[in-house]
Amino acid sequence: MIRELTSFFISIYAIIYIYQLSLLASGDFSSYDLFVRNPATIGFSIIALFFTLYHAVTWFSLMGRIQVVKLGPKKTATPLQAIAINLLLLLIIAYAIVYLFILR
Amino acid sequence: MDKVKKEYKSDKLHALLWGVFSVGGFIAAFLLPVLIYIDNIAYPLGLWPVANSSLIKIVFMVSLLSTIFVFITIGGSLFHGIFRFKTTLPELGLKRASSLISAVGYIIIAVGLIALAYYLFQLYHGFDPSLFHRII
Amino acid sequence: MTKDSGVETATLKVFRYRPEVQTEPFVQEYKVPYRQDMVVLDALNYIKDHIDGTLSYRWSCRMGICGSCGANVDGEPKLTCASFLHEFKGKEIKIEPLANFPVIKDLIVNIEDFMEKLDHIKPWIIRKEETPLEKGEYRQTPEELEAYKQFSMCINCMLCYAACPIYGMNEEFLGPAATALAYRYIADTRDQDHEARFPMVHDKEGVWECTLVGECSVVCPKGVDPMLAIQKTKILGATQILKPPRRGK
Repeated sequence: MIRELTSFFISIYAIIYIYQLSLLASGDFSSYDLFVRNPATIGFSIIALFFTLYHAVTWFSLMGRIQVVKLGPKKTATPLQAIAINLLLLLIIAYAIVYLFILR
Repeated sequence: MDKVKKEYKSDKLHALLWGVFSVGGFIAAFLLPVLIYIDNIAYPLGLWPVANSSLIKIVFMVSLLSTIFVFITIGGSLFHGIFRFKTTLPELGLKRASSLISAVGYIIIAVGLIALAYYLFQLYHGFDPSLFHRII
Repeated sequence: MTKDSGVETATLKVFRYRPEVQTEPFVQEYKVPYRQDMVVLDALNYIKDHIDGTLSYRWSCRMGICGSCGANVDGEPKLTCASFLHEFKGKEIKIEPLANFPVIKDLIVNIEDFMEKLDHIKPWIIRKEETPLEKGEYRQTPEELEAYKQFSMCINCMLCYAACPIYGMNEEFLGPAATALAYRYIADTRDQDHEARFPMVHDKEGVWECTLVGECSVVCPKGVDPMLAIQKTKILGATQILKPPRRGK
């Protein structure tokens, strides 16, 4: 059931994000700023982040079953190892994005 | 009563929609968390990495690359989320309305993607970065 | 389990449907002597032999190979030959026909729909050219065997269909076992025309109907993972549209 809930939160977050873009695009920056600083928006975003990460873990475990991860010529990763490898990849991608768009 | 023998045919449209849904699943897993964190958690709360960067880089609105990034991440996640949610509702007992739910789902996806592209286009061409500095 | 005059007994509440006598189905309660090593099928056989000869159900091998004794035991699709009474200790056991199938009589369901689907997916190795016997067998590496082995373990017991809510809503859905078996041949290197099965598995009511509930893989008594086969078949379908269409027949 949680899997279905993740899709609900992901959808709602995407719609809210589009709404935030519309506020920015209107040129009235303060309305955008007020909206994202609203504790309700922040609270929802934290919940959405939690569900997105939960989605990521279930997605990785499914991918690990569909495409078996090879750790060597004879060794294949256990489901837990497959999730760990994917989570590591997720962290690397996240840091690359932070670096590319913000820190650079 | 003999059943008419079923004619089978590969359904390319469903294959395509599922393909997009599946790619959207990867996008939501790999790209969405960092976008949520930066724009809606780190920015309003002043956390790393937004805290010690120049203000204009808070939202991904600085380059063509970041615009594409937002379109792919939000668009892919929207498609994935709505697609999965609409296929789940009939299981929860809304079996009768499944074709209506499906239609509404695709309308939400279509409207969402058009709005997303429209606002990103506007921002890419007309956003004034100095706004950030004036307010904060 | 209760003790009646020194003998431990188990109570079975069995779904009965006898269209020749009564139009409405009903539930009949039976008490059978309980032993630690008894399975549900043993209890049904005891009823048939000693209490009520009119009870109808399918069974054959008693050892989880033939796939004919499936029933909903306490609401879960199970092989009655592989469900021990002691798993349900201390309570009445509800025995019903497999869910999602039309009932013919008592625990016997109409399996015609699955049999047709099974036939449609061509569950045999298709060779474009048979090599003569003297050339020897078609050989495979252990890795090539591994690609389809688990799916070949299916015994057509249809528990996965009874567990699948999608099949419950839409009888036209190709369903778990038929897709798993189609994939079993698609993934077999000896098969030379995988694409012959694509119109069936990639049909509108083929794999695309599946929403990844996963119950099929949970209830399978042979460790087959039909959900995985369906996902792999979906990937094949999605990548197939990127390929140019097949020429000729």
